[in-house]
Amino acid sequence: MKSGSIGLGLATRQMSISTVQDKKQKTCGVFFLSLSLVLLALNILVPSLVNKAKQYVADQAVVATETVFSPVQYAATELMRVKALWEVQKNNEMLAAENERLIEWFQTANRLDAENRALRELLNMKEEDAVQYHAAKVIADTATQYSHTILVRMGSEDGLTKGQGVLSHEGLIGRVIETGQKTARVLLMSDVNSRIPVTIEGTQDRAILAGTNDGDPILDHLPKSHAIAEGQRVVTSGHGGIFPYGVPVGETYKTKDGWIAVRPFANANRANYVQIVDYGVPAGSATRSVASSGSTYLR
Amino acid sequence: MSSLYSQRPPFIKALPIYFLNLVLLILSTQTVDFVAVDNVHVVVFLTAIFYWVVHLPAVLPLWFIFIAGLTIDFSLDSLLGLHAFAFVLYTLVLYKTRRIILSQPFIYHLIIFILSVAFFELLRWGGVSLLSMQILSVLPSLLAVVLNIVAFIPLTLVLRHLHRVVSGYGRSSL
Repeated sequence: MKSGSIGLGLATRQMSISTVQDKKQKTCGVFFLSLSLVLLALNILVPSLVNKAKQYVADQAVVATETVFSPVQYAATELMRVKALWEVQKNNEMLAAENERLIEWFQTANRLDAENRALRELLNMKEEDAVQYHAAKVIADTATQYSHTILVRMGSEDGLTKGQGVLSHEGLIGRVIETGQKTARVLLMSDVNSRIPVTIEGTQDRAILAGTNDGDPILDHLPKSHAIAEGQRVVTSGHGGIFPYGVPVGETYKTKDGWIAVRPFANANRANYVQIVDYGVPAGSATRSVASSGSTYLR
Repeated sequence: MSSLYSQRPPFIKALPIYFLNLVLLILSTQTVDFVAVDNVHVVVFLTAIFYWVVHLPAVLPLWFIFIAGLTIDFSLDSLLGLHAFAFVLYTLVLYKTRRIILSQPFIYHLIIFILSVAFFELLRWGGVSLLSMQILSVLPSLLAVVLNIVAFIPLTLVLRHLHRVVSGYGRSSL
């Protein structure tokens, strides 16, 4: 009788402990859920504050980020190197042919450069402002299926500002959308929020290069009577006040859905270093819209 | 019915579990390039949440799950609070239903996980589509669901083995 009552007491005590734990878990859960909802609301209400907070965290955690992401980058680079070994013979032949073609182009470029200088002198044209380049290391490829951005190790203390263009050696990659002291976030042109005014070389048709998050960006707002063929070069148009005219972007091709898409010259996924370019273009309307919105999805 | 917190293994003994949780969290801040689709983000940490909340909640406290969600939000430039919200909600639902899930065979665990991953991805896709005011392509999200499900079985095997080593937990039904 006595042992039975002790057992019952123990069971009751354990049940009460469990109930307390359940209540504690529930309280904690409600607290963290509310906190998450407040954070989510802040994204919409004060996106600039959220972006500043994100950039501050990125600045503070720059060493940790590099440590975490560098083995992955290293593995990806090595994997690509192994892949390249299989194609070394083919690549060698292709490079030899390209080299010959480039030598011819070099001669042509020299001749055209001399001609251009002579004509400029003749017309007494004002020299364009010097373009400033900053080489920056990509410390984190933070692109996912929902947002295409990368983080570079260079920030406002190195002279970076919002809206500056980001290039690889092959062509345009994107633009700076947020700067911290030591880091900056780059919106890739494949992001669904990216819009870049472009011109198609040859036809001189203007369009907006719109990211889709899924594959290559497409050409939007094309004139109805355009005559764009496959394989035409696309360059920035200089409108919108971010990029000057002529920055190489990619080549056109037609998608199965009938859109004209652009295969970028530069592959942002492969870039370990990028060039941040200050063209000295004054911040125009497009730059202001980048600066004023701020949120990842409300750029 | 003993307190869940009294089941917490000693810190040193549970160190491999904490380490693996951390590794899964770090992996969840990375993306994979898959065939024609680049940058697919697979949140493998969901498997850790599912396994530990159902089997041994003491090793994965709610504050850690919240911080893990925020870490992913910060490191992947995601909507701040989105992963934290989804993780905490997922944990609370699992915590409420863990006794029912525990009594089911593995195939039911897999089905529940598939449903939860699909819901999680739908939440992310819907949230981002709504805020960017554009319908995003579903292919990368579908791929993320499939890859997460494919990763679930081997990861569960590893977690189960660790669980057995740390706490002498039972016979596998897998």
